[in-house]
Amino acid sequence: MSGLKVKNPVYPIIGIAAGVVILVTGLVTADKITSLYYLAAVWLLFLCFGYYRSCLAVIPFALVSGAVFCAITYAVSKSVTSTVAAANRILAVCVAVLPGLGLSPVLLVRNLSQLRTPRMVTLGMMIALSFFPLLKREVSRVREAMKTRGAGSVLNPKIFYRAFLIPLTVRLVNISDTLALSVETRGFCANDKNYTVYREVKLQIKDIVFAVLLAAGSVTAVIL
Amino acid sequence: MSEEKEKTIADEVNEYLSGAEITGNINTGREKLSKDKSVDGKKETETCDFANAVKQEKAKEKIFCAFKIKDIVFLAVMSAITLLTCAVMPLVIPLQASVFGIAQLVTGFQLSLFPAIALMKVRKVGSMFIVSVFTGIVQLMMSPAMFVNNIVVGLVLELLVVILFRGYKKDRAVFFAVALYNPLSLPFNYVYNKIIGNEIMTAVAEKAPWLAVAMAAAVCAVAAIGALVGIKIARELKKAGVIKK
Repeated sequence: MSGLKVKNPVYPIIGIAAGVVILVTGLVTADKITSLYYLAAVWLLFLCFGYYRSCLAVIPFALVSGAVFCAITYAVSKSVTSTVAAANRILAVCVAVLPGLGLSPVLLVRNLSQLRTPRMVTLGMMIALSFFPLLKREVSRVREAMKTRGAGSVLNPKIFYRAFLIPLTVRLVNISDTLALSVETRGFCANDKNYTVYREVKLQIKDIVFAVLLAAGSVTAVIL
Repeated sequence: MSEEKEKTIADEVNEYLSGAEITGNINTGREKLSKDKSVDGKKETETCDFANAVKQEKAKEKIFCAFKIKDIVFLAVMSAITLLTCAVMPLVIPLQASVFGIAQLVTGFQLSLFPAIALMKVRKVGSMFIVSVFTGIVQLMMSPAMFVNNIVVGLVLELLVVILFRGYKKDRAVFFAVALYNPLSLPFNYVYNKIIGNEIMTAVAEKAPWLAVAMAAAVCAVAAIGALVGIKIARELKKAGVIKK
């Protein structure tokens, strides 16, 4: 996932708003063929703004899930219009995740902190967004420990409970305790006292250009 | 020194908390202990213990308590592991057009298990909502509908728990909130798809209502099993001293 991050992504809040706008526009215009052109144009827009890794990464998922979804829809409805609509919906989801895929959690948290979002929310978001690799590693470590001890198959509920769930939960509790201590020693507190952001995320001209182009495209897609 | 004065302050605290002998209010207890303090200076720390115990007792009676950093961190870590284990959901998204509630079925266990452990540790009103916000914020980038669903379900559950159980002090309250967290998204998804979403998904439920009911029952069952397992794990870890209050 970290390989998909963009070096200079669009302004984080604009990126998140863009994802919502793309998805809503895609769903609203899903029945029309213009939706397909709109989504293709937005995909190209992201490509131009440096999201080429994310843009390429969603293609396999879009193809596979789109094909399965369209096949099932056609089998159920026997309607080409419904099938096109289903394809547009899947594509809308795939394009809408692009700003999220390319955005570093730190930038989003910094941006939200600048906007005076409650500390509790930004802290929790930071942990929830940036802990995936660590937690993934913990899960694989517990699995490895199971293999080393010859604990048996994880499909056996008793083994799953005793040899996988309990150690994983213990590790999670320990990680959480250490993290809480670390956060507290760095001066974070739950109540919203005045704080500053060391590296501020600044709005640039390219962000405004991106927002204007996306808004214009979305309005055009809805009108047409 | 009379027999009563020979009792240590710790004994008095225990008696006060158990309600066996001291039936007076907190202020009476404090006055009595301040007398002890004047008699014997060494008992100062024990007086502090008593004050802390009274504070804890008061906090237990409260419905709404402030969250500490460690609570937020624990809830965030649990939300992250919940999201991570729910990563199987995109694999079944295409099947949603043919099987109603399949996404909820495959994520039902994880969405009950980890929030149950979180709520067993952080038994404060608002914990469920915080978990739903943290999971929802990540989902916002993938699907705004899921974000709205999470927020609405979180709020509804908090409201129900406050009305019915006055907080998460009882395990029943934890079970209630967690077991309903995932199943409640089924009606939301149906209404959402009916209004602005995919008509194929609602058509699936309308064409085979018996299958939709069976799937809803299966989702409820899986969520209940997940909640029970989560509560069992939390109890076991509490007994082992891993989870502290």
